[in-house]
Amino acid sequence: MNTPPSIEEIRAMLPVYALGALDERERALVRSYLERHPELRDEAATYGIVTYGLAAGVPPHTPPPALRAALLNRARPAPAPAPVQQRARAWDRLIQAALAPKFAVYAACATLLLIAGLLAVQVVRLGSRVAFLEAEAATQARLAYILANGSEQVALRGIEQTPEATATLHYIPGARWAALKVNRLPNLPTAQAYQLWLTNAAGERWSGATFTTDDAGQAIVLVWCPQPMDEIVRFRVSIEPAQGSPEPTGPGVLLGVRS
Amino acid sequence: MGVDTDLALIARIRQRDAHALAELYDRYGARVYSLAVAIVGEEMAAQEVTQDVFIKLWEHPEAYHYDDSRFAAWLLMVARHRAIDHLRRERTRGDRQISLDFPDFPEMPDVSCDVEARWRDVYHSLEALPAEQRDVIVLAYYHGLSQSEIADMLKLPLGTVKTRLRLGMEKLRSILER
Repeated sequence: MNTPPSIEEIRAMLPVYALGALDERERALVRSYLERHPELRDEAATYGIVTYGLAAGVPPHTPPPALRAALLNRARPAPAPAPVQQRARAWDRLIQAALAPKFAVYAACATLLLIAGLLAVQVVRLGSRVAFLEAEAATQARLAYILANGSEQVALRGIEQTPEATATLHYIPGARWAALKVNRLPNLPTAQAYQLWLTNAAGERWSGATFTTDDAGQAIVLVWCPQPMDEIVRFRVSIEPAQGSPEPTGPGVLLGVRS
Repeated sequence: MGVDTDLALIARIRQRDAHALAELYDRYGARVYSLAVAIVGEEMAAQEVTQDVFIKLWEHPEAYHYDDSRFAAWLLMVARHRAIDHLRRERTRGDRQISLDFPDFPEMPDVSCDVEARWRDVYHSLEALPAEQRDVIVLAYYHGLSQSEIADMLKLPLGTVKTRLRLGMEKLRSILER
């Protein structure tokens, strides 16, 4: 019958436990002792501080500004620009209130308050617009990087009613971002968009991007997949509603299958 | 208006406040990115790792369940975990799923007295360790290898690897306690 390890034997494992280098059986063993012995927990935490030093003390690198913009772009959607008609109506009301002789004083105060409020809203909207433009710049920078360094390519061919369309997906091995270059894909009505579907060998499918083409039928699109692009075996573009679809519903226009 | 604590920012993230995510990124993004570069060795992959770490926090702020003084340690642990996952994928190329779980370390250290120079001391002291202790710690921490994998790689007995890891970590701890 195996004798359970002593406290001292467990204590000797704590440095390796903090490194995350124990084998699974020993890690479970240490955990069970830590639950029952508070003095071991305090000691384990001291080695945790050492590993924090190994993490925090590495040579510093400055992340590119585009990384922050790309992160915030993923965390929030781009704001819609304010409709011009609503701003015009607000100014009309302002002018009428200012011209009414009976309530001139009150109208003047209300006007000042309204102007202050509109200015505050403009500042917030400008801030959001800047963030949106930053995100756009980040997208373009990422596309340029992938097209310059992406050594892997997958060709897509036109299918069904768009046999003349072509596309190439460029990516860097192991990465989850890719660049899709599309040619001769007809411009769609505003209520529709093209949507790229990515399927892995297990049949799991994700939407990689929604996009539209220009008048020349071209587009360069940033694609993102939760799994590395190497694992995707089927690439299909279909016509969907402009805001995208959770599942493919429309006709296919491009298809690429990894051999 | 004072500066929000890390815990307060996480509470704001739960309310879907993207500005709170931006503030946490401004506080810790460079540190996460630096660790990612140190582990994966390549800037594009390090950018992906960094984004993943913060997006994961954005999507699951409830995963942080410690007090305010342990967030930095937790975040770097998450970053290391994600970066090691990337390395493992590179090594085995398709044989292993990316783990998107949060690592669990109940004994998360309090690093509230976070003095930059102190951590640099630890890292530089790593370089001053005897080579056989430094190598195994680097393989364990920055390459995510288990003690058995290190023993296989270096063709050493498992007991030798365990001893070298323990002695090296004890030396690093003694430097911190000075």
